[in-house]
Amino acid sequence: MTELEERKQFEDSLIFLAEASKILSASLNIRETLQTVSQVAVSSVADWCSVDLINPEGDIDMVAISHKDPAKVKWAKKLREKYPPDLSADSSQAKVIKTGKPEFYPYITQEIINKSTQDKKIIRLIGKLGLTAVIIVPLKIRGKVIGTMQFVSAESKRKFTKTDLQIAEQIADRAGVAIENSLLYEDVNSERKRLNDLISNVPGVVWEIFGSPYSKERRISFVSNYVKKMLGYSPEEWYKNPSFGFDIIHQDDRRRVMDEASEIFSSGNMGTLRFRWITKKGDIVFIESHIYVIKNSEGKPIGIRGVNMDITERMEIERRKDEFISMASHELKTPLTTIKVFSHLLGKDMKYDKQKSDLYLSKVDDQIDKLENLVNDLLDISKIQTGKMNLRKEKFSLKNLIDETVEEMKIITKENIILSRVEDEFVYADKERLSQVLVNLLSNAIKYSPANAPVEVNAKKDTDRVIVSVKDKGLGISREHQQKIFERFYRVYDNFDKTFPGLGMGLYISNEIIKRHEGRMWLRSQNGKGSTFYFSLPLLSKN
Amino acid sequence: MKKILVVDDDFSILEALKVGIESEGYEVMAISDGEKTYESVKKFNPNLILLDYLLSGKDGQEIVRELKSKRETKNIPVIMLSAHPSADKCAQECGADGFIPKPFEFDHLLEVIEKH
Repeated sequence: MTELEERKQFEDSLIFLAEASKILSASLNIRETLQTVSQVAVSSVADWCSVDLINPEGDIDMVAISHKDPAKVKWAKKLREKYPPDLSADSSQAKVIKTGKPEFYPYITQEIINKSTQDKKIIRLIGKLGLTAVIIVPLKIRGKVIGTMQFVSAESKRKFTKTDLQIAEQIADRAGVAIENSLLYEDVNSERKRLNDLISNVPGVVWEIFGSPYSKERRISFVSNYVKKMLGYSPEEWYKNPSFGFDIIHQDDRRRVMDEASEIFSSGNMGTLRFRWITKKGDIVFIESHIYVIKNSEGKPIGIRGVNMDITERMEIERRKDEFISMASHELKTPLTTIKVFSHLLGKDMKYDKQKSDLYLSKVDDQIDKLENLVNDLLDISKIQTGKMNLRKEKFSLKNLIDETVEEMKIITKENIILSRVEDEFVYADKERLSQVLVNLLSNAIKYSPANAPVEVNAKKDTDRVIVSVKDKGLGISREHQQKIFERFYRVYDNFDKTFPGLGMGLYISNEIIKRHEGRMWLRSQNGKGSTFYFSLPLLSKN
Repeated sequence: MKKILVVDDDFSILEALKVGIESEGYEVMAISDGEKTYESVKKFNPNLILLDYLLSGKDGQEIVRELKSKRETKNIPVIMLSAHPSADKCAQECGADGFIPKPFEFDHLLEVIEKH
């Protein structure tokens, strides 16, 4: 090479270095970038340029290849497919990957070709290519080899100098950095997505605010997607307004929340708040907010973050529990009061009056029975509410059960119960619980029937169900009470109920039992004309 | 003889109280219908009223207020009885002259009756 030629070649190399560096730092799309670099290379400093990267399985992927002639590129790709490089073999590329040091063949001789591979086919191909010189440089990320870059001189017969090698190494360095950046960026993105997905699954609003609760520079740095589900507002709406979370707090709670939140912020610890949020639709949601203070390196509070959980259901359950306990204790205290009075009377001079003592003792006994029934009812309700009412189902004749139960009731109450039409059908049910339902309906009917008016019981088949009815000729139940009569603790505060104060639990329990048998309970009644209670059960087919 | 009016919607309690208080030598009228309290007071003219707080239909508190607002009845002492936990506060609020939680010691009831 003449001095002029050398200088030109050197200039070309520098221009290539400058351009390639620009390309490598411009984009995070690694394949695109490397392909562009290889294209620029073949337009100025080499005839062939290719880049290989080691994939996660340990094989080599050709991520870029260029030559001025697109046909040759096609051919090279096909060749690559046919003869994938074997990294365990003794090839130059394998050596570069193993040692992390470049391989430089400024002048390729037949001997070198023969030494590089055993395969005669490849030897022929290399001859076909007309290779003159080759530079293979390693691509590294923090010292670890992740691939190679190849510069080949062929038709142009350009001679590669040591300077060319240095420039190739510099390109390889910058390519390594570009690849690392791109991988880090991907990592950060997938991490962020992963965290967002994780947070989206938290059944609460996860949030973060920088700035003190009172400052105007306060800003919401994060709010999870759950706000959409809980309140109907999108995260975007939140980010637009730094005091969004505060603005949707129920008016009556705002002052208190502000005060308590500020206290937590200045104390630098953590705390829990309860308040109400108003949803986009205008509904109220009860919130329990767990707040954690964000501090800077000097320990000064700079923000707060936390999770807001919807406790509306929990509060409703607690309220119902309290209500239940209050009702239950009230119910239990009533018979206790009577027992106490009669016990007192028994202890006094009544001791010597046998007739009176017998009477009082029987009263006490009655009350104790009442108490026992109450306790059982309360236990049943508790079981129903906690889903622990286990049914022991068996096949039996409904007619037999009705007959037995009615007989027993007739003996105990000495009342008149007529079985007007009881068809013989079989059911698959909990015998004891069904008996409980029958007794409940029968006792109610007897209680509310005038003396001597008989209570009628029917059982009739209706396609795939059997419908049982208990009819009384009592005072009847007005329409407004009919809706609610199956509710727990509902007492019919009516004229007729004042005569026979009820407990309000029996029908609720019976209804629940029937429901658990996939049946239904209902009533027909008219004020002054009496009532008929019905329940249906699925029939057992006679097979 | 001192006259006592007892109002409670539970029949067993009503019966127990009637028997018990009568055995102490008082004259007792026992009614279960809260609505009929005022007219019973007018008719029977008791020296003391024992009233249940949670009556079906008419609220015990309402009855006390009504009694205390009328000239003829406001001086008759009204003692409230109840098994309800928050009843004592309400008894004070509506102007009752005393409160006895259920169940109670009968002797305590007698003391209260004697006091008024």
